Amino acid sequence: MDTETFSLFAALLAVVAALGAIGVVVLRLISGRSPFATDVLGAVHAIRFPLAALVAAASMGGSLYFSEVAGFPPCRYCWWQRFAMYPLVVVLGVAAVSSNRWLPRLATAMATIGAGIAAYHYQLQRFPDQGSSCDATAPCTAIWVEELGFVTIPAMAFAGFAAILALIWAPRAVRRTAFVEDELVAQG
Amino acid sequence: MSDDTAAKRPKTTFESLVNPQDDEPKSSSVPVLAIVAGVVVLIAIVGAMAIFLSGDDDGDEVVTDAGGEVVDPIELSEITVDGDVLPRLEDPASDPAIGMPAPEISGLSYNGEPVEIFFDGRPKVISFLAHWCPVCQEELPQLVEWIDGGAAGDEVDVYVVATAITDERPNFPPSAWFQSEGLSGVPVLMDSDTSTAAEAFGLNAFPYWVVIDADGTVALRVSGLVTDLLDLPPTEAFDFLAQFAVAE
Repeated sequence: MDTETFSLFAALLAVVAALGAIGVVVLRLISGRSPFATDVLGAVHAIRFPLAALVAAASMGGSLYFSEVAGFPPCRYCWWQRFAMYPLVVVLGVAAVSSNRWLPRLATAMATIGAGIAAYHYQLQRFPDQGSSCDATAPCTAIWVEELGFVTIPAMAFAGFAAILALIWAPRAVRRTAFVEDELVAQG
Repeated sequence: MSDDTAAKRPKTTFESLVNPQDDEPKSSSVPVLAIVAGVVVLIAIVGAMAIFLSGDDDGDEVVTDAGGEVVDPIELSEITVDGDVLPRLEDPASDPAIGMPAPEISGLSYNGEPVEIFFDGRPKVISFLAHWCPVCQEELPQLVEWIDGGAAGDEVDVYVVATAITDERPNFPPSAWFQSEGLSGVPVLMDSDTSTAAEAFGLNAFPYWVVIDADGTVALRVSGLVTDLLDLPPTEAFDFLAQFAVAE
């Protein structure tokens, strides 16, 4: 797969992740009235941590492809987003196989910080006037990848963080799903 | 004992109220497997779309040589450097390169014609631009306007050096960029794949300017958007830079 194809693949995945995040939140909002939404949320809830870990792993894989294979140098803000995203693979992966109550909170803090940095980085790309020169190797204002007219690398990162946050929190506190979780925990 | 029963009962009652038919939670109408399958199918569809949709949009700008003949543009050239390489720019206000003889460089323009920047007794302003740098993309139209307006008159020669050229970065090829922005009337040197020309002049960031006086020595080096640096309208800012080349 060449860089161009991979970029489009990553961008489309990011769009799917963003739509998925929105979808889960919408389901949560209508779950009081829709038994189907409640059912879907329940099913998602059962695998929310593996799914969120998958999102983090895919984001990490994409990030590594862009820097190591495609040769795009990560800028300062890219690195800060990496600091937030890469450990999420482990945190969410462990959360998927344990019932530690702090792991989701830790993941939430990391994903929120990551999403904030990604949002700032994205607007920096949209309005590059904020920087008055380009670093010779890795300027944060430079846009290495832009697919579908708006999906740049920090936009993909933002979609990943948003999907992780939505997966962690949206299915929660739906009583039916909470019950299913209790059942699952009870079953070991 | 009755307290225990009372503590237990509300939970059971609550659950049976919320999930009246949910005696066997695993028989939910949406099995987890469906979500997993959905995710897998989505990823497969996205992969197929990416392969199907990618790779068929290259802009065609026509490049002509001095005689008006259409030529295949070149994006990189071999650069030869004569003289000492300048140190990397740190602080323009206390730049040790000021007063040092500028290296002489030569290579090719994007239409294949030779370009030389050498000591010929004339003051020079050299603009180094990277095609993928958004600040350079902002500066080039201003530069074109300045050049089209006569630049610094006949006193100063203006050169453009396209550097940090790579097809892995956006806005490639630079030849098409220069054509679409209407850059003409000044020599355009295409740097090597290792940015030999930029290295020779100690480039630290883009856009980058080197001002050389009539003696062939460096009068000023700055990086960044000149209008921002000087807080002047573009034409006045470029004129201000050019003055360093003729001031003595």
